Amino acid sequence: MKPDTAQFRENAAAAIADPRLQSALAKLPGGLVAQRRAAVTALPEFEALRDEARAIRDATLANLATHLEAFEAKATAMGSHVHWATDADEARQTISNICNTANARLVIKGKSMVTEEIGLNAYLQNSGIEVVESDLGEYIIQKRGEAPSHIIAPAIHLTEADVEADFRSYHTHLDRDRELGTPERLVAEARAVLREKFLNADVGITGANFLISETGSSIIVTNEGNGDLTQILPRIHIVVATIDKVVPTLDEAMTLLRVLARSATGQDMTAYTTLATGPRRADDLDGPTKCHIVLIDNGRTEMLASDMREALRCIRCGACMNHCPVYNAIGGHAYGWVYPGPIGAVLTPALLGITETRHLPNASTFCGACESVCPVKIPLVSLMRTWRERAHNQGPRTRGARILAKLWSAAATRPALYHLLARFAVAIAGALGRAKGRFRRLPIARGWLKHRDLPAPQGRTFQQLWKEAERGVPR
Amino acid sequence: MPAPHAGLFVTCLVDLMRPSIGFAAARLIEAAGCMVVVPDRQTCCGQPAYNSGDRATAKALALQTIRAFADCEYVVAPSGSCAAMLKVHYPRLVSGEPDLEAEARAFAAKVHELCTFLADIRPIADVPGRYDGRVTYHDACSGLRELSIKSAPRRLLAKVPGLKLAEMPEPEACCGFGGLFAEKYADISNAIVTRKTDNAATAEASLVLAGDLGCLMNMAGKLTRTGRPLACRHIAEVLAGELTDPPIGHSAVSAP
Amino acid sequence: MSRNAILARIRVANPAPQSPPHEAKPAPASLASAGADAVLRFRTAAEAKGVIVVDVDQPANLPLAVVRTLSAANIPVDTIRLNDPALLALPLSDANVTLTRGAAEPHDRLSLSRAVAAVAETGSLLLASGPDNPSSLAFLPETHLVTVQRSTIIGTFEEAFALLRTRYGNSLPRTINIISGASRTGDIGGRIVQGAHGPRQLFVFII
Repeated sequence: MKPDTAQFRENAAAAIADPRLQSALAKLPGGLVAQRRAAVTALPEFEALRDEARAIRDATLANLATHLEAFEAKATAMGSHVHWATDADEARQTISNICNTANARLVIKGKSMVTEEIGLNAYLQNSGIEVVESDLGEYIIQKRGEAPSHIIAPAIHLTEADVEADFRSYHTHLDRDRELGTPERLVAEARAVLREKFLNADVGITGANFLISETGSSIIVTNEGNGDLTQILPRIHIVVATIDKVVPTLDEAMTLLRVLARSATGQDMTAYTTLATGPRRADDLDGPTKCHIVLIDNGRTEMLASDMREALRCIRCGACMNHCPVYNAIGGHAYGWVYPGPIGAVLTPALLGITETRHLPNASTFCGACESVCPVKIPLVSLMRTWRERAHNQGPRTRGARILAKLWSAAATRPALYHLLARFAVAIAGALGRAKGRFRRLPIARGWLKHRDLPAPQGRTFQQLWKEAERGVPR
Repeated sequence: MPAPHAGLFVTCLVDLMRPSIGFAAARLIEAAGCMVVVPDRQTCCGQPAYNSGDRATAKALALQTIRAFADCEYVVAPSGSCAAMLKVHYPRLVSGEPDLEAEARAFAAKVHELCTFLADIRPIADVPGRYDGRVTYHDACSGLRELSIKSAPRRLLAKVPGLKLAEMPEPEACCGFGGLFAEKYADISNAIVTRKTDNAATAEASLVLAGDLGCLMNMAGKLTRTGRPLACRHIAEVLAGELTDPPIGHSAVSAP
Repeated sequence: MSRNAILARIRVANPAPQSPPHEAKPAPASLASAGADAVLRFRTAAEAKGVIVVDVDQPANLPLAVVRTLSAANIPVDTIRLNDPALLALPLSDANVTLTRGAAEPHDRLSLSRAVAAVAETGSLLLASGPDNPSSLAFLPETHLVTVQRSTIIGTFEEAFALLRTRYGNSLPRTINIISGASRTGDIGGRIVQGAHGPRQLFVFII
């Protein structure tokens, strides 16, 4: 998808003014956030597991090449074809070639963020292949022509009524007067429509939550079972994953799964956790006859070599966005690309460059709620701050901002001058604000004053009063 | 034994906006048996520069602050956010320069946020203040998540005669201040502070307390703009009984 | 070649000395259980996920248990799809049930699989694909029935993986399904609905 990150401010304002979006977002605290809290409380070792999960990710990244080679060797031995792609373009071409070689007309997909990142659907569709998303949330937004607004709940920005209206306009082959007013009926309709697609698809594309070197398997977790139908029914299964998804052993993957589900949805285990290893065996009655695995770099090796390395620990649970006050206020689309929320504010500049994305790491209160729930303890605030430094080093955006920052810095590093200026400024502001105790309008701080008053200073600085008190002058 | 010297890191906001918090803090530190000193070589902790990506200015301010408090046994700040800057981030700012790092670490070990200082470092048996009424407490983010300040303010409030603490829903949720964030991303900040003040109002208290003036100015500004009968004060003012000045954003004539 | 270029870039980013391999830790103590305790824990965890768990005292009584349980749940028991010889050997057809063999077909309503093991920690079933238990049985039909031997109910996933290593050596079956409840979605308005793409209901018979 085409990034829209430079319009962040405008997008955020529109999101805040959208009552339907706001009513959808209002469900987060009582939903995913509360569910996570309950799950974490129920497992006394959860904090220790976070440390362990982090250690597993760090150790794996430290020996990434070795683990990838081991995975490739094992997956190949188990009958999978392993492909490597440096960037989005090579990945799209690789996948497209597999589809074309198989004369695929219809591709069914499980939920995969990396295929969003590389813009796979549009690419395949342009070459005449029908691509259908099978995760219910992804299906809904695909029909709307939208990007996911959350990495695990892609249609979280929509209400039941939105989905009903959408289904009525897309599923025109169905009775116009049908009952559709409950989530159950909506789900049943999508199930029936998508079942046909599953049965007729030539290729199934899934992502991977993890790739296991020990067994050459991919692991996906879903609640719907769509990822399983995607990889069992079509004759070809393509796994698309970035290189950071590899985990050495099943036991280590289990630690990650234990923190993943709890952090994401508050489940101890999602309904379906599936290890897929190669194509169907000679005596199997179902399963794909061919299995391809496409390993994609697309910026990850650069991140590995940079101070953004810790972001590669991410296991895509979405807890950081669920707990982020900014995400809760504006939803995912305002971030303007594939990955929203705090992890998006770190990943997006790494993948697209900071120039067009500088709003994302800046639009944070640095409250740290994201870090406090991250199952692999990514220091999201520090990483966002590092991006702010990069953006700062490119220079402030306006002359005014540059001059103000310089003046402030010059004064703050000269205490005597600072205290003198402070006394004057505070005396004036204190006198102006004395009657009300606050300002409603000022020629500065327009953003602040748009929504709230600015409390007025008491009129004298503490330093000034303290010195006077030391001399015995009463306050 | 002579009383230890505790340097008051005033914080720029308290210095400029609300000196009464500084005096309240000083009174409490004295109650903890310390001699309060206020070095005049201090200005700002450097956090606005640090969080804007201006590492050079932040580092200059870090060194200035560290040296300003060289003679103090303790450095106490009436702000979790500034205390975290001094305690957690100064060593990071000079990492890679062994001499400076050692200096910053030694300094960091002396730094305490006011409530932690009064509750755990130099515990006080009684507090000077008294407050007859219900208050609610906002856990400001930096103090909560970087310095684990959660129970200290509540333990201190429990010592205030007459005071009843009524928790608001989501006391740990951010207020939307975020320093320059509130100005640069005003609409988002407003959405966050709206929710925060809605939550605070449900506690049916007369005061919202917090340990950080930035958050308090943000919440107070929202509360006065929306005409809510709920005022904001720094926790130090209540603990010290420094209640002569009207609440934040109110004047002597318009005080509720 | 992209492969070598990527691996080379990783090696540049990860200069020696590389950290020692990570030692996997055992499962958290609070998740461990064994024996009767594991059976109880499995049942509790599975039921919490909406799974109907039924005890069957001996294999010969499975048909009756299936018929009774499904009738109680108002699910018509006419045809069951299965392909496991051990289950096919049971007198299911005596209970007026038609058995169809093979992998699942699009319009199957009921299927029956045999689990390799069950994991108490989360109330999960471990199914291994193969000619006897095609993976589609677990996903296409509306109702999925699974049998599990009481003695194969184990505490944690680490034990389950050890069992897989013992049984399959270094070559896993095409699909290992870890199933923890029926198919569900929360994608519409955040409310959980069962039966998104896979089974609407899951029944476990502990034999």
